[in-house]
Amino acid sequence: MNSRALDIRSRVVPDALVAVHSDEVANVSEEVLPGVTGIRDETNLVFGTSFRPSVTPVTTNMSSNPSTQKISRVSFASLTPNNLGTVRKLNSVLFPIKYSEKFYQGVLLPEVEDFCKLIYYNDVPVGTICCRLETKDDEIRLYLMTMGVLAPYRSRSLGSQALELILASAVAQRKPKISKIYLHVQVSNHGAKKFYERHGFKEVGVHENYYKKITPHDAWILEKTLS
Amino acid sequence: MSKALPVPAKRHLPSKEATLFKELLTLYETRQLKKGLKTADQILKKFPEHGETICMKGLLLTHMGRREEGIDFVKKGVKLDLTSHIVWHVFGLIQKGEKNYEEALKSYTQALRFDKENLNILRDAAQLQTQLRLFDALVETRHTLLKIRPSLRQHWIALAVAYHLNGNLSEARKTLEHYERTLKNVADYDIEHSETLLYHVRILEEMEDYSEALSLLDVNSKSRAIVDRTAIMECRARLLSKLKSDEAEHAWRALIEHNPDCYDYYRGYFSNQGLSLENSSQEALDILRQFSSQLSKATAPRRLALTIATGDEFRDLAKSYLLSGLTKGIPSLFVDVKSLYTNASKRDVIEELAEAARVEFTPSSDTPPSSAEDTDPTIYLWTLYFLAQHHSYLGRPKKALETITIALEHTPTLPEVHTCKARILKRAGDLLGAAKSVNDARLLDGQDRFLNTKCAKYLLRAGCVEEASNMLGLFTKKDAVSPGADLEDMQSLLYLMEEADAHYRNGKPNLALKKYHAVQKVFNEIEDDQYDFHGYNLRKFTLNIYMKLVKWEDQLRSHPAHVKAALSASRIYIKIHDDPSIATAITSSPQLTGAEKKAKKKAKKAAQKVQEEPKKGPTPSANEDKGLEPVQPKDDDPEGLKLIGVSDPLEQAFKLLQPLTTLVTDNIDVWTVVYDVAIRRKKYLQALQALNHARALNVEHPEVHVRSMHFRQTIDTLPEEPPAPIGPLLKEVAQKVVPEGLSILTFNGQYLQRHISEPLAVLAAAKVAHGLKEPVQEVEQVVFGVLGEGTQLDIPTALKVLEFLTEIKSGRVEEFRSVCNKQFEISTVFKPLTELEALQKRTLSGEEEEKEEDISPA
Repeated sequence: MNSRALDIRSRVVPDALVAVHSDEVANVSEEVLPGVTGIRDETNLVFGTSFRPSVTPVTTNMSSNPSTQKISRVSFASLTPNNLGTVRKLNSVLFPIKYSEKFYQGVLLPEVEDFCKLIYYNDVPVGTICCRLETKDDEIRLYLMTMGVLAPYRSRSLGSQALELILASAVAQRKPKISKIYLHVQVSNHGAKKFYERHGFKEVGVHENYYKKITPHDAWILEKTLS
Repeated sequence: MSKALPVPAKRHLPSKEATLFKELLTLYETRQLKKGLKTADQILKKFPEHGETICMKGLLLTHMGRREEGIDFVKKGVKLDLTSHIVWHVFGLIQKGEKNYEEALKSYTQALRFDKENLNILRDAAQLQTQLRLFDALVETRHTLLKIRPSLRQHWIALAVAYHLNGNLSEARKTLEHYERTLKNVADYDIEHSETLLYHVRILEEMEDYSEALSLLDVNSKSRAIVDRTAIMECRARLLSKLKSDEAEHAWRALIEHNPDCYDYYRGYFSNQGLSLENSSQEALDILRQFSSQLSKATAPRRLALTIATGDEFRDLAKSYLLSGLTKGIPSLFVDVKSLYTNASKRDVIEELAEAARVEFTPSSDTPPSSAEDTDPTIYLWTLYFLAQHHSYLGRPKKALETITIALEHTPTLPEVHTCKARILKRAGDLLGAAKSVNDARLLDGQDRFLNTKCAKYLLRAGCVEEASNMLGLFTKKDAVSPGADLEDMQSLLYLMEEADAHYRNGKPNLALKKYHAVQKVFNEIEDDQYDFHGYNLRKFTLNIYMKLVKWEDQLRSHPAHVKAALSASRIYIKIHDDPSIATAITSSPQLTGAEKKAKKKAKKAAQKVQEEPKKGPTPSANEDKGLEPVQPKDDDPEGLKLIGVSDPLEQAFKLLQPLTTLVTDNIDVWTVVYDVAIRRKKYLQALQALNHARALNVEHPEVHVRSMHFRQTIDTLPEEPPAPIGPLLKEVAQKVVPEGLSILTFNGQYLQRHISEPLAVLAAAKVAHGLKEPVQEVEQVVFGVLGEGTQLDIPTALKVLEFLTEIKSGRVEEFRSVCNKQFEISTVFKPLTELEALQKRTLSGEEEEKEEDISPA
């Protein structure tokens, strides 16, 4: 399987001044949206049977202050059956919801390898981002299911780097082409909404009673069209 | 194989058959077994009594896996032609295959009587002589080989090595000098030649002819005949030091620059300068500072400086060392510095520094983290990790747990933090909790075999043998009979020892014995494995490393795992001897607990597999070479019932301990167990020797005290004094053990007073009292002293006390248990058995419980 180079140095602007509380970024999907079927296209399954973790270190200078110039290492790894335990652990402390086995099987599918990642900070796994592919009206869309970073590691642009990485992979994918990426944000979570808007997402509507077990129940639908 | 003359009549074959026989030999050499067998049969049709052919047939059959049949033929052949070198050679080959080296050498010696100059036989004999360490004979054999074929380089070297092994360095040197003079046109960059020269230098060094060694080294490194640059540098520095040359300092410095993290080079440098790296010295410290500033990336000089420095200087150096380690996130930082803790003030400084770092790196809670000025959160995490280990090491489990809990809340995804928590719990006596924590770590990274093994080990410590086996099975070969069988093949001493200990604690001494014997087997195999190297290393000219190997093999059985397995097995044998009902209870009524049933099933399956294999066997090719080693017979005692049911347990123990008495003479445990076995076998002189050894090591050691008193008591109550000179000698020592005018009991009381604050000594005094048939109440009184104020009772000792109380059928077992349960708050090992079992069930099933909790579909 081709492990795409995850070089995003050129794309990421470390936005150290904007404090984003990515704990609020955690958007939680409780169930597959009605009318949307998970893609099970066999042709997509053909190319990738082996799960190889591809960790590509991305070095970012975390400090603009020259006196505390410290190099922190940020890197990403693909999900494999072996590091899934780390994803489970992260989800269990990041989100107020327990994910089903179906979720964990889904993120291991070869076609989402570029869209499901573990985020490492100085070689310690501190966050995850997980998407799934959906087909609606002959259109392939990317749905961002979860994204979160452990509390002590927030405001270090880890979330931004992860999101940009996913966006870049989505744009780069040709077959099948991905038309847009969307997600849900709980209507109380303004920080998260701002965060996504900064990355070019737009609110396209409100999904009422999206969350069953947590309040408020409503969620914004945020969307970004990919070109 | 060349033939010898003259040929006796019954061996003589007409020319047609003689040709066939020659063909047969070639067919064997090229391992064309089936064809060879046909040829042999062809000869035997006309000459059915031809001994050499019968032997060859037997050899071929053995190679083809028809072992018993083959050996019968070989034996028959030998009988038919006792003066043929071929039959003896064949017989020797078979015995060698059985690893019966002594007998094989005898056969080879026979063969050589009838064919003195057979190169193959001589070479094999030399290898056997090396394996058996018969160095005089080896020199002879190598000499003969060299005389026959002086043109072979290898024969010269082999002779030198033989002399060397036999302790005759000057002859070894002469041989090498002679050999080097005969050499012409050595190719450039000839590694074999280079190795030989380095070996030559080494011999000169061992002869303490350092200047000669140095000049040989210098000449040949300049001419580039010696090509191993590192070896040249190391050897040169060593020799210059020994010659007290001024150049030595430079040579060592060059080595340090060559590899600035090699502690040996620093040791060499400093010992050359007459400085110690252990004691504080300003001069040494200054030099280390220089090295630190020159070699900015090396940690070795910085770490070495910590050992030497004191006071404020230590504080400064330690601070920068710790901070650099914490910033880089070096997981082994604590393990690295903990050896400094023998110095209490250094220990306190490190604690202070680490606590200060913790305060400094703690993220402020009120202001939201502003990324720019912030320190890396990972530094805080590694600081907590360091401190947790620190507190646990110093016996403060509560503080350690508090710290590690904060770390886990901070970052729950770092396996090290979970394993650290596991270790804290293990030390504090919560074995199940420890196993659970290490399993948490394992779940984070499924492909980490270290975590898998750790997890299995912790399960074994908690007594969950079956669960551990399943855990290990995630990484062992899938087609192995069981995970354990694969690990035994792989010679995993860790697994064998841990499972043996677990079986023992679980009250299954039979299975424990089984594993301890498996450890013995591993060491037998290692010893056998060296055989091939006696030939291989000479062929490859890797002589220095070969000499190291031979020395190492001679020390092999002093390996800690071997010692521990031998001692533990012997202790079981002693127990069986003292109370045969232990063995009969296990052998007569097979307790069919769930685990055992399963084990039986598995064993049955395994046996079936072994039986099935030959069915598959013949189909691929009848020509397949199965070698001369006998196939591992299938295990007919998977439960270790035969092991535990032996009629002579003490003899078994004696055999196990035998190698230890010469190799591990500084180990008190060895001598006390040797004593225990000897005194029970009524080998009083042996017992006396063991006791003397132990007393010479530490006469006040609790276990030694117990034996001393036991010895006196035994000798005093002997029904009949053994004949002189043994009897009087025993008496003499027995008198010496307890000063004149004191009874054993009084002396024991004095011992107790001397060591009243040492729990193990208190236990020893109680054991002696029990041995003297003091009333149980008295003994209990003594042993409960371990709970006294000012006594530092630890968990392992408390468990020993508990075991002793149970052994003497004390009525206060539960009392002691509950006191310990209170005293060691975190521990679970002192909980009543029923409670512990429930806890075990809960902990083990708890892992599954977490799994399911689906989100309800809309």
